[in-house]
Amino acid sequence: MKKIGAKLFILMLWSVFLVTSAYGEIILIGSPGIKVDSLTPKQVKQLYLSRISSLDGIEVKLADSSEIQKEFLTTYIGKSVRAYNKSWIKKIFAEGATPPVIFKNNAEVIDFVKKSENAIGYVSSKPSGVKILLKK
Amino acid sequence: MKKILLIWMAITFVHSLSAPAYALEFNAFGDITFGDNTKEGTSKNESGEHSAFTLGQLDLWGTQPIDREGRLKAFIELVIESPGGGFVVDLERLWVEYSLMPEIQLRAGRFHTSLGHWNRTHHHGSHMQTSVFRPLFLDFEDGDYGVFPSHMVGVMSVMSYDTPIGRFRNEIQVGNGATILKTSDGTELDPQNTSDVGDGKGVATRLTYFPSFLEGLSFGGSYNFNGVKKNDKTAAAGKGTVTDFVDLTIGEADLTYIENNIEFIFEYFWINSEDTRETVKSFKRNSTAWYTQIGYTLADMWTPYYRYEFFDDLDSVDPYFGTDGLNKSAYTQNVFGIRFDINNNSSIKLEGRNLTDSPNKNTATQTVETYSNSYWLQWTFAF
Repeated sequence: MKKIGAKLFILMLWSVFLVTSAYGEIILIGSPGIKVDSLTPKQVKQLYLSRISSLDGIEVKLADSSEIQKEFLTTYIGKSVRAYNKSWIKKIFAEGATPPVIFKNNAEVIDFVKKSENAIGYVSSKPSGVKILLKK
Repeated sequence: MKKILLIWMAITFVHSLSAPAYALEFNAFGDITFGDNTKEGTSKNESGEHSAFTLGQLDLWGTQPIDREGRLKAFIELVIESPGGGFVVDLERLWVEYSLMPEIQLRAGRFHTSLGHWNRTHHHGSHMQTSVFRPLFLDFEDGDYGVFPSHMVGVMSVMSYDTPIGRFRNEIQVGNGATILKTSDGTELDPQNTSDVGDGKGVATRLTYFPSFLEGLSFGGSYNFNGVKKNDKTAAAGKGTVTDFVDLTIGEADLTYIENNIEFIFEYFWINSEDTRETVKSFKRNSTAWYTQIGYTLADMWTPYYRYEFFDDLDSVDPYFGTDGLNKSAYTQNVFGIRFDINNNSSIKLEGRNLTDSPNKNTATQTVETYSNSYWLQWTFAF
């Protein structure tokens, strides 16, 4: 009985681990032709908070994913979804900044990044046909 | 001939179909405020006996890329407000922008003057600012306390550049000079939207430094110059007379920290006016003004805040602030409040203000200081 209890407990712990790590890594991806090969976490934060809008002189287009936005913000930006959205509204209203385009899921983000020039987005599963710029 | 004409029409029609069509999506900010209007008195902490609901400004705004490459952009902001009596529609901001490169943009139109942090960050939607009202001396030109040219009509450049020590952002504006406009309705600063009564232009520049050693911190400095004329359109002056008044120079420095749920702002203004009226030319006068505001957001929803405003160091004989000019009194004010964010699109703010008003301070016509308390409840929304 004790052995069954212990096994059940381990199974429960494993299930919790699986659920909480369901999204695994958050991968920053770029257009195939983008002239940057990697991003630093600081650059990701600066781009997605509109503190910079270009990399090495190249204006970049940003993609958000509503499916994993919360995880992305926790991992790279350090803000809640509410605080993040509020910061963008301020930037748009004050400076006319262009916000990231929001997509539903990985597939839509990958499609946008593949077809756009100098676009950056994030996904939770390993993509093909795009540049991988940063993983965390 | 007929065949050629038909082909030409067909080509033109197909071309017009392929041309980009843009639909501007308007966003809106609005607010409704309840205020306990105060009773002025000479004893400290007298509370008011009047109260009123106020329909605040309805701010309709939108920004739109107007080319495929994303280099051209337009911005529109219309504000519907009631200055007393009926409602008026003001075109508060209207500009078109071309991005020469990611680091440099050129704009033409009407924008907020590059004068200080608050004026460039917070516009007409009170939903976007923590407090109910702007600092009084940063009120808009048509407001009760407006003394600075908060708008400019002209051209502007915006440059941003990254360095190892941080990011710099520089704005330069040239436009119609601000003028004191006197009409039967009163006197206010006029940014001159459609003409300029003088040859001299207003200039403004602002430099902001965002150090890389601390995210959220910024240091800013601004400079603004206007050769202010007086445009008297009252009946006594006939159709209107334009006279020289003052050369107004404003310097500003600010420090802000907005990160980790903290909002800290400090702005300091130096105001120099040089008399250009024929009889008293060249007299120079100096005044200062400053405010500081601090707030802290708890649980993404609650933001208690405090602000102190100091507009009490006015040169007593400066015509710009005196009865011959804008007729504004010196004051100090404590503002304290709490903001509750229902969600990103709506908030409720409760604010108390303690104002010490010193009309004609240090002059022969100085009246007694008045003290007033007021309380405000504001519900804002955005969509």
